Amino acid sequence: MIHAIRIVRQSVILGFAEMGRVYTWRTWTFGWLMRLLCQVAYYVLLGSYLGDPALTRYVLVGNSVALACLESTIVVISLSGERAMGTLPLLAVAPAGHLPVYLGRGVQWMTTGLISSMVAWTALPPLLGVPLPWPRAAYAIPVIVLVLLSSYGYGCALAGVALRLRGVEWLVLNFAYGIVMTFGGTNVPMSFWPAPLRAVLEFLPLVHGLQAVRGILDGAPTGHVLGQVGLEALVGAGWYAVAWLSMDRLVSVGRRTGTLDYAG
Amino acid sequence: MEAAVSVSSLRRTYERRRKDTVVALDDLTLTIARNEIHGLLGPNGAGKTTLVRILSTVLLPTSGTARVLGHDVVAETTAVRSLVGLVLGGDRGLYDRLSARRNLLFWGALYKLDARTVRRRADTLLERVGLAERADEPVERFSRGMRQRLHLARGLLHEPRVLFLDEPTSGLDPVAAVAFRRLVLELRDEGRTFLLATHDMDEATALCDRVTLIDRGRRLLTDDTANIGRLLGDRECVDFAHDDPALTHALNHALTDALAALPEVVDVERLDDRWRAHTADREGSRRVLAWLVERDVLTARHAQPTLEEVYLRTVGDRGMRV
Repeated sequence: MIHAIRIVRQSVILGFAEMGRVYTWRTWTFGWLMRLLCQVAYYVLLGSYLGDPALTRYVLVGNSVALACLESTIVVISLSGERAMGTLPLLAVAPAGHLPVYLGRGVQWMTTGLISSMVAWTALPPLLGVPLPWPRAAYAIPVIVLVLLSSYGYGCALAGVALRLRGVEWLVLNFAYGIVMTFGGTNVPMSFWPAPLRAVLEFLPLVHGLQAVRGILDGAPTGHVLGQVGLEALVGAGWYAVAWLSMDRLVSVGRRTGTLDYAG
Repeated sequence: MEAAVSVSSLRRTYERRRKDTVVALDDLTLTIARNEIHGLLGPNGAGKTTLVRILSTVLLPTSGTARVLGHDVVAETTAVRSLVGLVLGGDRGLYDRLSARRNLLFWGALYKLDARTVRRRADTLLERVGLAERADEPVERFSRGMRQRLHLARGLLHEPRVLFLDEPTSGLDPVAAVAFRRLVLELRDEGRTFLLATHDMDEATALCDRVTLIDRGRRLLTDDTANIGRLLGDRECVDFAHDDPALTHALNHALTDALAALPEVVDVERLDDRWRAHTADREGSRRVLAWLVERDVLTARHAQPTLEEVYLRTVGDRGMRV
């Protein structure tokens, strides 16, 4: 266990070092964060334009929490980089095993996801004239952290796909996030979708967490909120299990088929 | 004593999309003694990398067996992984954004070394490979040679007893390559065994105790590097040139024709920067040397075919084909 923790720690250091290749704190703050805030504001202003305060708050909450999911799933890109860097086979044959590495490789995106989501959660409502009910809104923050974690598992599972098919990591990321954003209750209530589709959507990250957040803000019974929190945790755990199996299989199949390349 | 590496009837095939099968290794048998530097030579696509990948447990063989220090690479992967180090050539296999030291700390964690041990070993290895002064710089600023030395340090971090080097000096400048080879020889003197996959003949000649030539997945020959010239039919040679290199080209044909007419001489051939007389035996070489000195050709020496010549004649007409 202590070795796994040390590997995760080293992976987190690596992840933050790699993040420095993409962003400085200035470019992240005034580039990426601003782009995310504009995305949330766009949907909120659309709600305002329609003149429906309930809808406006609905999309504000949905899109602010969805930022946590969006950023966590960027772990797909980080993990896919292992093949491009030629480190995947070295990880695969390391005596400690490669799996703990994946738990730490995208933690930087969870961190930025938390910051983005919190900025949207605290700064946008007053700016856009859609106040949230404080202090109840503060109780939602641990649930947003849970969404970050479950979405990270989702991203790791999808990285297993991206690592199998070269050059598709951005496609996988955008497709995966697009599905959650479109069908996960961010802008359109789940009840809008046909029952068979809803049954499938139950397995997406964010879905139950977002319902828990909306429940907290609306003063729903604690049982309902905790139930949704539990389901979000369960869905997240399921995605981690899928990720674990997927990565393990990637290596076992790769050793058999010769697809764990390190040469050119 | 058990061999360091023992490969028996090893075969590896790959299935292509059009359902055809590519044979990368075909019934390969090979033994590497402990404390040996063994060169694995062959053209591109010969199967060198495939063998290294199997021995380092990155790849499974299709059939046959391979053992490292007595452990089967398929059935005992955990034991094998802790005993072997894999050193890659080229730019891949390192984390560019991390410093050299951070790279080693990362891989140390993956080799289950405790924090104090990995820090101590990282310091020692960085000093040893000459990177101590640049240890805290991101690897992305490193030259090819520095990266290669860091690859070796990474491969040595868990103190493996057998090291697999896959084209370790490809792209290195001559000075860096010589320094790298010196380091490998030092490590051998400490009791490590090396399998060096390369197509650099100078490197193999300088480093290897024995070499194996493979092509199209099959072993063509294995022999001591020092004696490999014998493999071209035990031929003796005398290499000679004019004292003034510029005039070597102009060595008159009368001389070479006369030389070729001697009963001891099998034939005379023109090499890049010299001539070569092939003789039937050592006594013949002695007479040819004396004959040349009498005619004021003072740059002459007894020679044997080099590893490169053996390679070229064995792998032969392969050319650019893979």
